[in-house]
Amino acid sequence: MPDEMDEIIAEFITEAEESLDKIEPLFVELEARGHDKEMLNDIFRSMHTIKGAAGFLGFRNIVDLSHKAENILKRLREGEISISTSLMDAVLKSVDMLKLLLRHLKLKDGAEEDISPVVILLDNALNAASEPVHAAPAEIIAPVQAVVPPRTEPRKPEDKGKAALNQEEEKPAVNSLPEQPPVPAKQAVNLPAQESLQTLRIDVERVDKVMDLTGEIVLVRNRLLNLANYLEATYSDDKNIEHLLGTVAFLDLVTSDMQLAVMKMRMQPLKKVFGKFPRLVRDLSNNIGKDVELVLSGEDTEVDRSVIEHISDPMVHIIRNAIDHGLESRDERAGANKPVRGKLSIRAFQQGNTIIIEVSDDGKGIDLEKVKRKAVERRLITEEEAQRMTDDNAVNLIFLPGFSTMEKTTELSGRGVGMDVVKTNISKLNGYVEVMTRKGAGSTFRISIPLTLAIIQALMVRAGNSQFAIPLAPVEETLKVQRREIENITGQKALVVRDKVHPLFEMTDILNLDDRGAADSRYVLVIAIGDRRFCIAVDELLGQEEVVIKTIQGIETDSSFILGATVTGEGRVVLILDLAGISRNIIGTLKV
Amino acid sequence: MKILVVDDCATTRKLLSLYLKSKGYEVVTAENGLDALEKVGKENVNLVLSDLNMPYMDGIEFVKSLRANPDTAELPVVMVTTEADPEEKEKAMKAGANGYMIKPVTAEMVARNIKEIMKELFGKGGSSDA
Repeated sequence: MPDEMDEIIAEFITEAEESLDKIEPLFVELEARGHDKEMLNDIFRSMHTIKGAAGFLGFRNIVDLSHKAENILKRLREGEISISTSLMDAVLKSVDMLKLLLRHLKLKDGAEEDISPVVILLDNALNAASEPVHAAPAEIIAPVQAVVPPRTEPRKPEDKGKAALNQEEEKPAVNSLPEQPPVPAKQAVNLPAQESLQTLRIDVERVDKVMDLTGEIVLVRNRLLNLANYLEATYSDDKNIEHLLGTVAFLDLVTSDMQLAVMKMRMQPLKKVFGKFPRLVRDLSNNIGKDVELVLSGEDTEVDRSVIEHISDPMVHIIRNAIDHGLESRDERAGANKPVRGKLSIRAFQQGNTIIIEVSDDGKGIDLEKVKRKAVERRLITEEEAQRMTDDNAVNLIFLPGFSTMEKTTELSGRGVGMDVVKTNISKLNGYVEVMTRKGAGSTFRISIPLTLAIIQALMVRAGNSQFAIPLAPVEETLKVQRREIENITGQKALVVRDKVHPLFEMTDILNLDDRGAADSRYVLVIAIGDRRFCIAVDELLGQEEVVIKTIQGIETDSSFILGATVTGEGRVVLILDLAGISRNIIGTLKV
Repeated sequence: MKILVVDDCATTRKLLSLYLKSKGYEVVTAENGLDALEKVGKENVNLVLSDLNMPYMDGIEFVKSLRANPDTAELPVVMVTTEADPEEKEKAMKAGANGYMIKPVTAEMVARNIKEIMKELFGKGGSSDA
């Protein structure tokens, strides 16, 4: 293939992948709804387009496969055959294979895939479906049902026109480019034809480069602000100082706007991740014969693209767990007076500067006694610790490395990956995960992730002789207290803030610093991570600063309590604290 | 050389225009006959590559409208016909198309046909207003 085709092929791959991602959840929805001509037509058209475009570029395998799938879809749409689980399985398999073929094209690895098993599967499924109805009593409609909220995008008039008609596809085989027959021209006609002018596809690396440079500018800006303030104090008579301050103030403003603009460039809707869940839930629940209703909401919530990339695996793991361990079998549910169909809700929303993603099931909840027992067995905690442990702390045991509640791992969850990996992956995004569970009523996994990963507001503090940056978002308030106000409860320091007792830690203790301050007055930060509150005492509050997080190679974030480093306005390198890590590792194991 | 690609499928439009651009042509696109008529009025198009079946105004209606207007009566149009259906081609040619391509269309086919049709048309002195 000549070089000039590379860009076109890349374009085709992107388009085709997007189409497949779009139709995959539709299949599941379709299975739940039964025959839906319009939806079938949507899917059919996407498949038809892929076939045509692949034909244009001469990708034989893709043409053959999409042609087979298209043929089934056409007959479904015409009502000649009806939807069954095995038919959907076959079509979904072909979607998987198409994705695989596209991936080979993308990687240019030249690898060949044998599509014949999938072709045979499609043929067989079609043949089975075409047989007279009495022959196939086995399959009805799959138990899983996806309740996908109504599509938010307004349908283009183009779609309506297409949905209605389909003579063209009646004709036999291999039309390449898709087309639709004319439609009475009474509908509104002004179609925006400039989609290609209004969106631009940019290499991620280029955006990241801009992001990096913006970070550098933020640092320079901070430094300049500092210098200007310093100069103002020394040379207040100089007329130019005023100009300097004005200019720097403007730079300050523009830099903030630029940061926001660059951040938005990297944002993508969570739909990209959520889109594959209906299929996942369908396959998983079909496999183990559970009845699961999936409710998705908030797919339009936008997050940084690195979140899109890394949130999928942890979420899949949580979903697998919910279906495998959380939700009960039909019989168990019936016995517990619950609806036979289990419910799995996944929702996302933004709360201030945090993105929250929740996966909830209405299953049996996590058996905390069992969790504790297992943790003792695995020597993760001692018997006494187990007895003294609060429920809140017990449930967090599932996040410890080497923990798994199932006696034997099932096909679903038994992949050698535990919840500790979920936790680790989410903390790589500077986020944290919490569990709320109620016996008999279900569990909710709540993932909180900061809106932006690279630049954060931080509180600069001094502890002993060192300066640190503390992410501002989880800091609820700061207090100045006297040493004697800090209580000591069975060896644990604590502070009463408005009638509530919070555990208190000296920053120098957390980080094992030798140089502890001796001053009598302490500054205390009240930190809220999820539902948990604790205090960190420092020697001095130095001010608030916007800092750019630079990761430090070789630091194991979770145990070092260090998120990264930054350069301050004064040009000093300062470590940024990982509050979520501290919360998990120190406060999480606290025996209160 | 400016080519107008008329197709109601966004992916087809995108791939065709990328391909034609890589071959050195300028490309404008339209989603259907009506949209295309508007584009023809605004841009100095030298050749039209049009799909046949489109909503609002199909390829046949579109060519007829072009021919009915003195400004565009001579504008070369290549129709991409749906199937190997002789009636379709005939209808297209009768309506005033200068040539046709039968699906499935491949990249090579597009390049070859455009070159041939250009040569034939402009070689004979037939010309657009560009």
